[in-house]
Amino acid sequence: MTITAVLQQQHRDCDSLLASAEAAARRRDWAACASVTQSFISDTEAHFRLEEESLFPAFEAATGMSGGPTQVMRMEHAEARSLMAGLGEALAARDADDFAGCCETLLILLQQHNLKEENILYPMCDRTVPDCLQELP
Amino acid sequence: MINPEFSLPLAVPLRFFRTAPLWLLLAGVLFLLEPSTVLSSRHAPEALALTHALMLGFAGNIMLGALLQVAAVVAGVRAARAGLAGLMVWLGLQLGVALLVAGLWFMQPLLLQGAALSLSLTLLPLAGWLFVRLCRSPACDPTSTGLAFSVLALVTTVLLGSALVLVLTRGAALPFAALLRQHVLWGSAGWAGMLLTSVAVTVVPMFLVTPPWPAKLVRLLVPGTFLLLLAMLCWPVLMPLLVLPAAALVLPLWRLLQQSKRCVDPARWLWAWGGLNLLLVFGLSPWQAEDGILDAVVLGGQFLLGGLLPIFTAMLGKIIPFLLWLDYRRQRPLAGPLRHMGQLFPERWLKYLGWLALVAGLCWPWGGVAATAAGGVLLVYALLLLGMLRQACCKAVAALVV
Repeated sequence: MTITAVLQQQHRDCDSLLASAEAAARRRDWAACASVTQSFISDTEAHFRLEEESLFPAFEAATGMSGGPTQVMRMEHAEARSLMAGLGEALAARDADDFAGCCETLLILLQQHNLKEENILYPMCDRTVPDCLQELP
Repeated sequence: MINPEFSLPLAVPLRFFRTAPLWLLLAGVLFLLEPSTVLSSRHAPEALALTHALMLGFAGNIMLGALLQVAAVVAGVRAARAGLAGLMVWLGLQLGVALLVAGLWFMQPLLLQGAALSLSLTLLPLAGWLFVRLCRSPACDPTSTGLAFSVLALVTTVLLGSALVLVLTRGAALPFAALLRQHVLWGSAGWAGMLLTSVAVTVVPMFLVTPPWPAKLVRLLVPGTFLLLLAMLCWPVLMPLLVLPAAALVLPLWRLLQQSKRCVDPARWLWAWGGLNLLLVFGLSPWQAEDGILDAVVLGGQFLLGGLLPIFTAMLGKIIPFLLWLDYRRQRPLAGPLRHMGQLFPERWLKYLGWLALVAGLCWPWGGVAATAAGGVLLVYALLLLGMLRQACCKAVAALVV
């Protein structure tokens, strides 16, 4: 088991929840949509916190790269959080088009973010801070 | 240790994407000027000019924009002065395509030589630099590897094209028919096919939330296609085998699309329709090469209108609004009027373009009036895409000043 494999699986689980939330909004099933959106936001937040509070600081300390890839990842987390807030607002307004728009944007944002992490950053972490694997759920 | 750069200035890919429909528009006009000449033979100067306006002007701009963007995101590859380098490549490509289309249409040797020079000086250094950077990237996923192979195919296509120009304009003693066949093969199955495969491996699961591609398949597909093309340089008789990589791409693609968790996304059926046409074209192409049972113009046109156009539509409808939105958010990190990319490029726009691509692909194979109608549809598509891109860019700029 590697850091890449564990965190990649977390990405897939979050993608799945987001797609389910979008599908529920498109069929106007707002109860299901609210429940799945809540799970998605909570899981994604937990994943972001794990990276920001544990993995990235360890990587930065080990490599001295504090303004590079991890900084880009933190910026993208902030953008994702803003879109997650948008999901909540669209859900409260029962606006399916707005919700689907936020979902699609968030999905692409997260996917290209995940690619960078899975292709480059996580393999670097596996090499430089393998002990962080013990801290992952 | 490599410090990867993950993004390009928006202007770099966007310039290529916004130029592509202009070449499509020109191709539509050229076709409607001489439909019967173009349809009569793929060797007619008008048909050759039109082919290059479509493949190099329209498809080439989209593919280069996508290549640079995907290489930056997936493999962390970008030039130190990406904006300037991107502009130089864009200028060299447009100059080369303009000279090539004019040179072929009017059969002017000087223009053709200028085109070969401009395209070689632009694309060969770019390809060399990309290949080295992709090989040095810490990313070793199938997309990064596939991009490196497709860049090699681009080099081969450009070298073969330049050799053809030498034969045409200076009477160089080279086997014209064999060079032409290889140029077409490396340009379509090589550069376009391998780039499309490499990008599909990433963007299909990404945009449509499908399971990942079979791991062994995606690791072997592009290198296998490259080896097959190399073998075909010596043994052209192997051409019927080209259906194998096409099937190895399209059949799993259909299965993934069926398992997509975003069933209502119009990009899903655009990928499916494009894949079907690519499979048909590569499956049938050996029969047009040998005994002429199938029309080369029909197959070549179907490769572009039925195969590439719907897939490019699916990708552009996502990538462009997303990049515009992301650029907007970078400049206005806090709340603003643009909450999501659908406000820049609504899903219904993608549906309109998708329907036009479908109609063009359905009309083209019938030839005659139907094929001419497909040319008209292409014109409408190009105008609509130009208008949509302009509107999306204007909305993004307007949102910044609110």
